[in-house]
Amino acid sequence: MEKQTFSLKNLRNPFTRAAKSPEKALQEGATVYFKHCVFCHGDLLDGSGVFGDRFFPKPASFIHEGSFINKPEGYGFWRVLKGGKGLPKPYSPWNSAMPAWEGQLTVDEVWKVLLFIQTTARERLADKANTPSEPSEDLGKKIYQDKCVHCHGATGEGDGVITPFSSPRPRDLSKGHIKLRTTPFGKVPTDDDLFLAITHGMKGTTMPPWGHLSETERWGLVAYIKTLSPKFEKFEKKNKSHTIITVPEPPPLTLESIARGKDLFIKNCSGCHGVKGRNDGVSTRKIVNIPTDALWPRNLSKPWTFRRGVSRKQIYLTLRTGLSGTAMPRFSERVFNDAKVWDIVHYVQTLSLSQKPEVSRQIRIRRTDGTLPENPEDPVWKTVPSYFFPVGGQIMYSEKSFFPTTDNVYLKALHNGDEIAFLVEWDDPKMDPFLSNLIPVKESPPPPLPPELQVDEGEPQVESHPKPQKFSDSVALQFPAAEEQNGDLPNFLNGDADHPVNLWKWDSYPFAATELNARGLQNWNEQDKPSQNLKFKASYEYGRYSVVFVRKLKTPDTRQDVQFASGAKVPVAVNVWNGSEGETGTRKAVSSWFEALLE
Amino acid sequence: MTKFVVFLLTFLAIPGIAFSGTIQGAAQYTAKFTPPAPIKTGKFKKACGDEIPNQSLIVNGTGLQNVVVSIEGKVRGGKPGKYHIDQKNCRYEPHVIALMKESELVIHSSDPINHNIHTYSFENDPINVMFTPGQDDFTQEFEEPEIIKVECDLHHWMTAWIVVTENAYFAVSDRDGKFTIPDLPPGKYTLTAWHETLGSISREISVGDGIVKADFDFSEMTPQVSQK
Repeated sequence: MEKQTFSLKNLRNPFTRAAKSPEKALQEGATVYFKHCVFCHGDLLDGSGVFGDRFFPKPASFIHEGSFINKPEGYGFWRVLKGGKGLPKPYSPWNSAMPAWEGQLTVDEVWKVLLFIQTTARERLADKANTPSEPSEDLGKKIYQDKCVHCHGATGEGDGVITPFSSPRPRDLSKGHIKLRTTPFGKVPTDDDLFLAITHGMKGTTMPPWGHLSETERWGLVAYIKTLSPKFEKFEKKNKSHTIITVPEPPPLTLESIARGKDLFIKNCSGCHGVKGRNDGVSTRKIVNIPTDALWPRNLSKPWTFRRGVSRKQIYLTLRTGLSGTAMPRFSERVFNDAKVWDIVHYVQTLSLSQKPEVSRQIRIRRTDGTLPENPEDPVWKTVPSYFFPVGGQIMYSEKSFFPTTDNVYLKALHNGDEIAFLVEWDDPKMDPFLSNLIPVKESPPPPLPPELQVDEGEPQVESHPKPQKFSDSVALQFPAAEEQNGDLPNFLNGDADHPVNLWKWDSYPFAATELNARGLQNWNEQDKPSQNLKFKASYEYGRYSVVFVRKLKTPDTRQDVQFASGAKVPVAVNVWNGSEGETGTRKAVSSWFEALLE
Repeated sequence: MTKFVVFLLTFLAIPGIAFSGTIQGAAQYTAKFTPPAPIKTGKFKKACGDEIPNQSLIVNGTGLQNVVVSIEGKVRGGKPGKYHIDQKNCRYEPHVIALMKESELVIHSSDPINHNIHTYSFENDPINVMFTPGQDDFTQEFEEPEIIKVECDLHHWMTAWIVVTENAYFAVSDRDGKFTIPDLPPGKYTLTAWHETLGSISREISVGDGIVKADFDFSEMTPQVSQK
């Protein structure tokens, strides 16, 4: 791209005024937004995109008077082109996940997306005096074409601009199925179901909650959406009525109920969700196919990701209705009476943490006496505080990872004045088969058969030389290289030419832990043999990898290696690759910087 | 004009009661191929039997079984019906089922273990029902023409196909590849033969009084994983 110089002062958006067709520029701006910006800044421009809670500082919200929409136009232009990297020193350079879009977007595209953001944000901030009082199909259509079309497409087939970059894909509204209903699996939803789907959105997906629209507007949308599929008209023509599944009052939670629930869960649910609920069941590999939108079963250990919600009544409804369009069946009353469903609900709740762990940007590394636990299974680790690192897709520079399977990593660390040990744990429902004989492995067994049907097949045969998957499952801890430890914090995306980082990377294949240095996403170098000083141990248990890295606090390579000392603060970040899902190279999940304090 | 057409059709239709045709033919496959190997059931052997036949390509002599032959478009006559599918010895019986739209399918399980019948349908309401041993039957209506793959999420080898047709004139080829579509009103039709791994072949056909022959040769077609 040719180098261009702009004087920011008095710079004006050429598409705001003089443009012949601002409508066209606006539409093109929307396309840019839904291809590139929506994942962090969100469908509603409020900074709550899919990755809105993964990076620090949080992505900007544009829905307030202080946002760039009311600043000189040159300001927004500069921020987009130069990104977080371009911020002057006092504004925490390097830390923001905002990429520099110069070289990725054309100047015209930048102006158009700014126009789109500005126009949309101002509309949101303006008073809504003119909202019609009656919901109508026409009103719904107008809103649909303005707001919904980017994802659900012009005819509702779920083929909008965002579709290639979104998993799950936007709902195909022409089929008349939605996931969260009060009607049985595969049946058309009620009007209330549609209204609630619009109001609450789908947590964890690109579908935001639309509760800020007036009720009239939302009911208008319901009326219009029902015209996009012939199923609703047919339903009325045939005079059909809905079978609505209601949720009774939950019974008291008892230990007996949880025990019965465990038995039911293992028999009926573990085939997909796995015995610990980390979606590593034996059947998942057959079911999941992301390109066809056949999704992973829910990881039940992370209740904050439950689409419908975590209350007992919400889980009950999911069990009773199933999730249309997925492999999650409904548990009908003919087979599972209410008591049984509540038992399962009670057990499911025991699989999960009670709430989402808080994210602490500062982690404390305790000092201990004696040797450090080098095994992930060492009981000492149970006494060490666990830190929650959110990770999001590397969507800043090509090649990008728009929907990584990893959404967080748990980190623990200890030191003894001589060595430091990190335990990194993350959920990956499919282990690289290459590891079968190399590390301690526990995989979810198939659901048990009744005793009279069981066959003694002996111990399952493990191949002596199992083939590795195409891409390695990997994790890397990132620190500033020693030469940077007293200077600027390197960019969180593996540093850059002037600010190198030191990475400790574990790979399932070739099975090793390697010390590397990187000067940017693409520029990675393994350190020479004599500089490789990492000890490591790994294990895999029911859908979760655990890797321990151990190194001396200090090393002779005081330029490239990170150096630790008691009382010192060291920045740390993580990168994760799920090889079986095609993640390799720059296609990975990444965290922002955290700060580790050695006690 | 409309009235005139209606009159004309009615006029033609009256003699049609006694005046109808039959399409008879065979689906053939003469290419050399290795019959797909049966599936070993491993730990399920007591519940399912040691082996499950792989039914994705069944040829006897030159006859190709489980080809659904149907007529495109709306054709009057015939009625939707009630059909049955069973989950027995960890396979679906029958493996391929054809039914006219608005027909009902009664799903049964004879097996002593859980099955989760899951239809990958889009035009029709999808089914995803867990069957535990001894459970009541489940009845589902199919409203729209569609070729639907059926799988059990618990036993990877279990597959069946439901072909929902627009009209009442269809047949599934038998063990020898033979099929018969009787009682067809005379006229010109597009006849389509579909096989789950070989794909589909269409041809035009004129039906008058009596028998019309229509054979379909699939030998030039390459087996694919799935032809949906």
